[in-house]
Amino acid sequence: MTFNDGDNDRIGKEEEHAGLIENQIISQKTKKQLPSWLDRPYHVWRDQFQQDKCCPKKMVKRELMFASTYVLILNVALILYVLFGCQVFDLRHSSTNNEASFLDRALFCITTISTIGYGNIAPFDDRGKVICILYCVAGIPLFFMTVATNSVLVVDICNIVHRSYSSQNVENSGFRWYTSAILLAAHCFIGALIFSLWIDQLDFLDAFYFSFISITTIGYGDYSPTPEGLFQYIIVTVYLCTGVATMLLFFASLQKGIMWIHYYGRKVSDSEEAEIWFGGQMMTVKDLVTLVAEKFGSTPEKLREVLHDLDKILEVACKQAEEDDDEEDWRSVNNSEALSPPAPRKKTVFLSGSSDGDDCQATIHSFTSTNQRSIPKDTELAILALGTIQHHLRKPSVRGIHGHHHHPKIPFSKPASDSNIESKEAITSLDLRKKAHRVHSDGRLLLQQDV
Amino acid sequence: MGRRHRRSKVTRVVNLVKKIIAFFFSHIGLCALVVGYALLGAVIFKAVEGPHEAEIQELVKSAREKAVDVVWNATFRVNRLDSKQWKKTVLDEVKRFKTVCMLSIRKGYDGKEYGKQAQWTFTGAFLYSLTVITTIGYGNTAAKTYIGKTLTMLYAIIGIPLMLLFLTNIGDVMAKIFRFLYAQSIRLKFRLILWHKKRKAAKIRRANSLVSRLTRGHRVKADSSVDSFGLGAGADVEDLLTARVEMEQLEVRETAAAQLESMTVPISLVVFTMLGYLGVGTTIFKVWEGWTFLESFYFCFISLTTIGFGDKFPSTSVSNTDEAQEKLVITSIYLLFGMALLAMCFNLAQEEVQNKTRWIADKFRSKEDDDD
Repeated sequence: MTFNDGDNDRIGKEEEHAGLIENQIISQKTKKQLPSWLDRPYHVWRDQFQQDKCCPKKMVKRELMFASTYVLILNVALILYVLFGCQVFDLRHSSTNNEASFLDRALFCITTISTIGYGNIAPFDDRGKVICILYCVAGIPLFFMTVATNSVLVVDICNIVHRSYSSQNVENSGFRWYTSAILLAAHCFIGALIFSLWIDQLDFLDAFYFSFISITTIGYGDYSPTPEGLFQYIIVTVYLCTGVATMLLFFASLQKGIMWIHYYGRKVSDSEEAEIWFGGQMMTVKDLVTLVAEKFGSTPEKLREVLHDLDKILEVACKQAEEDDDEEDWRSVNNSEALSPPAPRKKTVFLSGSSDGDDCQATIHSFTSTNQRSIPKDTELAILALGTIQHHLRKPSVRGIHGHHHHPKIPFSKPASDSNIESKEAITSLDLRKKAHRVHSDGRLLLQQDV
Repeated sequence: MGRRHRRSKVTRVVNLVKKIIAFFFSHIGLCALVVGYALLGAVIFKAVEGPHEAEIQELVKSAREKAVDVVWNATFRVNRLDSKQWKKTVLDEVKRFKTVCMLSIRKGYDGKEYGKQAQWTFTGAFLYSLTVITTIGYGNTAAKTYIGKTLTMLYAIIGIPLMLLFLTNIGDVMAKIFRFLYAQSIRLKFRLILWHKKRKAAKIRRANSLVSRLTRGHRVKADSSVDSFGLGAGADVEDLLTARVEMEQLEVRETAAAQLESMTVPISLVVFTMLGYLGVGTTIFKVWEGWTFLESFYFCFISLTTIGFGDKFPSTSVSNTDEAQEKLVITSIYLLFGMALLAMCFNLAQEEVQNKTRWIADKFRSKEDDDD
């Protein structure tokens, strides 16, 4: 009796245990399925989003709602604007004098505000021309703003996917120019296929030519799309909008190279005498460098030495051509005393883009944190001083932000080439001091006489 | 020795290349580069499309002459005997001529007379090149041959970024000049205000001297206590008034310095400048082409926003006369300068909008800080 009861209990426990094990296995399998294709992109995106918005983890949802609301508002506004244009315009074909249908008017509105402008359909009376002018004034900025926002969104998605599924730790950079060029060529090729085989049945070269002329917004109108049915109209519209976006991406990626060529071989000079606002006071870049060097317990000569070391650091870390402008700028700041003769004063200082500055800042900071032991204290302080100088030089003309900082006024020797206004101001202040002193002395005399 | 010499030579070559690039992408070099590129395009397209146009026109002309000749011969020889034969001959010849015309139109015939009117003159090709690289693209003149179309695509690939670079730099330079002129006008305004303040100070100083003279005269009659009181009061009031006027002047100077420092041109001035330029263009084309005011304004607006429908176009009856060529050149200059002015206006407006946006963002941030 007792022996049989014991056996039954043991068998029951074993069955329960096996059931639990099976449940755990199933739950582990269901958990493991998610990370394989969805969890990692989500984490990468969330980290990137937090870094961009500078918000804590629990605020991600609200910030995401704000960002997505902005994108949706732009797109919906554009669609409503095009529909509004369809209602307002009264158009006719230029060659034949027929009335344009609703879909033709829609295509006209899109090609107008994207500045393609075929001209096969055009406003023919004065009222149409006035409406067209007013429509373009508001429509063109709206169109390009929407296209730019959507392009940024697509580029971000591509970057997140690329960073998720690549083993290397890829930097978050935009498209390279050859990637954009390949996209542009592929888009022209797809358009050539569409317009040679399906919609208008042109020759292949003519179709390619038409696609290229359309998405670069030249838009001659010697060939113009004549789609049939709603679906073909939608395809043409989507093709033109994505084509314009691709072209904008291409030119945006080209612009960095173009600006690099523009400043190549060009020496950034005269930055010594450039004036900036710092601590509610106007001073020159030279004074700023001296001040920050003293504050961090270093000297301008030490900063120059660290810059030479930073050449190697930046070559290893960044390997980008844009950093050369930054290095030249810093070098000219420190070597500005050697410039002769001194050039007239300039109000502006050229600096590389803020994104490059941020990359440089992040690189220096990461380098400092990773190699904490091998860097002596003087060099570290000098690097921090350089970061502070760059931070202040990046916003030379913004006065309100620095006004909030309550920095104590430190007397500096002003440069010899003061303007007349400042010299008059100094003389006036001296006169004021003399008069104030006189008032005080007269008060004392009065008191003495009373006594 | 040889190694050092080679290194110095290489360095010299590198420096020379640097100087060349720096010149071509400086402001003057960039203007020259854009104009040179447009002239190069004019030469190329004239060389490629001009013979094609002449060929087509000559083909149509010879076909027409042949048709007329055949019809005349038929009339002269066949008309007496058989009317049906005559009709058949004439209809066949007219049909053949129609076929030649249709083929020519497909190849790009546009109805211009051979030797008298031509699209692809040098200035016409120049305007075409300009409309390609500025993405205006009227379409009245367009490439017809395969070589022309291919060259147009290659030309646009290189020319459009070059044009964007040109507009960016020239827009920056023109924005600086505009900002400088605006700063000068503000400085002049504050100088006038200072002059008024100084004149007011002179009046106050004259009143002070009068008061002190009265006090000095009054000192002779009064006793010692009243004398000391009057002297102190007069001196104190005089100095305080003078100090107040000087403080007002200093405040005006600081206000001027602050406004000059945060130098952003207001958007209304930018818009007014752009409308002024459109007005000038409207006047020019109205006088030339006999268009109405609205049509001229419409053409200028559609051109400068690079839409370029092409329904309105100057010198639509293009001819080889010097006057028409001159109009094309002036149109090209108007478009090029107009694009640069538009880029300048965008730069200034963008700067103003950025400052406003930053101000709003700072206000919201400070509000959030106050809430926290």
